[in-house]
Amino acid sequence: MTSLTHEQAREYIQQGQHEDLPALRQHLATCDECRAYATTHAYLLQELPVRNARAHPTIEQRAAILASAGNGLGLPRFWRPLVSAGGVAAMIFLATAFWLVMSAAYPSAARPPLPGPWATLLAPVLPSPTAHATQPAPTPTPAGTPDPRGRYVIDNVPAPSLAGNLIGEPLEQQVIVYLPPSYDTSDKRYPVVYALFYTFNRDEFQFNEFGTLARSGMNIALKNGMTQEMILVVPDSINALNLLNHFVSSPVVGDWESFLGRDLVAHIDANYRTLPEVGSRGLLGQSHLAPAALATAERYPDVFSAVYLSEPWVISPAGIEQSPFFSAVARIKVLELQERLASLTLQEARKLLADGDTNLFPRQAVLWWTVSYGVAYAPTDGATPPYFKYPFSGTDGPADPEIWQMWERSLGQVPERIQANLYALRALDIAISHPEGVSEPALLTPDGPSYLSEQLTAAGISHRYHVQDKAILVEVGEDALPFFAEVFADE
Amino acid sequence: LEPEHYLRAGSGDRQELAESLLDHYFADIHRLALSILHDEDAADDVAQDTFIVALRQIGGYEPGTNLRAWLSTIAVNLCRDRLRRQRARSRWNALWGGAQRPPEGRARDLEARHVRREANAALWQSVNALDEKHRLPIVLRYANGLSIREVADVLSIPEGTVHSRLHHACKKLATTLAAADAEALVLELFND
Repeated sequence: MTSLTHEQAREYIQQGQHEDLPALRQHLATCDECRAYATTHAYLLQELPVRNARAHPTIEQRAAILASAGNGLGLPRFWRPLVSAGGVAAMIFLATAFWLVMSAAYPSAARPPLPGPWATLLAPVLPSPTAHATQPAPTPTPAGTPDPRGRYVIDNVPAPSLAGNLIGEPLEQQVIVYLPPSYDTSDKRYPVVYALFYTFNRDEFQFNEFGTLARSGMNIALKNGMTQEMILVVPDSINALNLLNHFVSSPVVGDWESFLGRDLVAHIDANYRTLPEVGSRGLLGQSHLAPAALATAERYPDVFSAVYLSEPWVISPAGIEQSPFFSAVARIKVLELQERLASLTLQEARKLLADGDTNLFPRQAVLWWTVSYGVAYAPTDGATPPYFKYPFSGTDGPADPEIWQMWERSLGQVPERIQANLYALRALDIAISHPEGVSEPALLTPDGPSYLSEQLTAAGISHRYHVQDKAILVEVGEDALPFFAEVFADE
Repeated sequence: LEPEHYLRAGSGDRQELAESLLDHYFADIHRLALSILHDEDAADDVAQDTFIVALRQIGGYEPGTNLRAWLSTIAVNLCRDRLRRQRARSRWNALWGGAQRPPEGRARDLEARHVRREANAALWQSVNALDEKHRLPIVLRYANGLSIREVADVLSIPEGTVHSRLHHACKKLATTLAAADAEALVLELFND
């Protein structure tokens, strides 16, 4: 056995031969730096690979690439630039320059007229001499001029249903209200879609993003031929504890279902030109918030007639038994956090959960979801943190059945919940989208949407189900809003 | 058929060569662009441009060498150009319009869809904090699975330099990894 230099050791590590080399083992046993290198190397090999890259080009990409291969345009190389956008722009520029030179050289009466096609092509960029003389000076755009894409406002909505909550949730909630393009120029009334969008953090920028999302979604839908404009209302998805708001009702977080179904709807109907009827209201729930949308629609069948569940993959055929909520590591981490929260005031807990603590509460998805979910569905009776019950008291041992039942409330017991809400579900128009090609589940299982669909079918509840792989913005525009438009038209 | 088949034939149909290149290497190149740019739209653009440039410059490729590395070189250069433009744009924005936040809506959406990325956010943050000289070898080697030789080819540097840059980068990353057990937690959660 020979001794290795650091460079040789690192080379062997990169070649993956370190398991078979006694010399390397000996080197690693005595060299802290190379051992750290080997550990980091192994960790990066496992963790860094990008797994969500596109496997195939889109149709448009393929077409563009094949066109560039030479068989697409069927033109000699010299002419290709002329048919590109740049070529057209260059030709317009040259023609404009030519016309301007000619304008200077000839008096207007004697100015040679532009050939027909050029006159048409250049009309938008070349001022007409006569019109120019008589046109009034431009005036600033008056305030309140409608945005052709529609506009959104941030509205403060009274939230009496949240009274008595223990986490300091304000009794006036900010929501985004998107008003469609014709809202400011007509006296029409509009149906309303209430959208629960998933997010990780709250800040002003991201809250505004909901407005942009709503506006862009509507514009995609309208461009695609949807004629029914709608108002979109988006409440805040992060609660006062800086956790994901599941919009459920509990003594800890307040009665969010009533906020959605009563306070919010009443406020929107009273302050905007809505069609204030059940057949013109829908709920959209994305990802983790899809169960909340469904539960609220079930509870208020007199308020909402349609619900669109975008990728409700948190629902699981296996219930919550296989959930990462309760893995051995999760138990340790959640119990640690629970203990730490128990020693904090509300303000301190809020800060901890917002800013994170890299040693105890990194804002990593699984732990954050677990605590968010626990606070929503398994609240404590106490008025102080930790605000949630956990079914385990250690890494071993059985679950507390009563607390387990609470955790099962939203994600598990799907057939039982469907049976309990048959009447409401039958009255609803339901659409479910399933994420295509997701190989790594977010929380429980990628089979969640199809499982929910199967269970609804088994219970005789008609619904739409489709597989898609779109960003939420595109899905809203291409799938969700057209679904609501169709449903509202039928109503 | 492998792209090399059309390249060796010399007079092969360019359309078929393009199809073959896409079938064999699109996923690799898209992954590479995504791992450098962290933006799916930008990665789409770079992946498309890589093949367009490659087809235009295919005469410069020597059949029988490493086609993946050759395409990766084009992709890395396009990514570098794009990052350079982004940096210039943000400097311009900072100068004239105040600091502007990047559009995070789409990123957030993607994160929601691909939890692994969120789970690794801290790790990627550390990787992205490295300077380009050290970040690119890490991204090529670990995020894209290129060999040391291929990394050297793509970046046009000697293999020894790749080793030393990886060593330096790993040393920096090791401090971050030791400081937070977040990644280990998520890793264990998924393997549990």
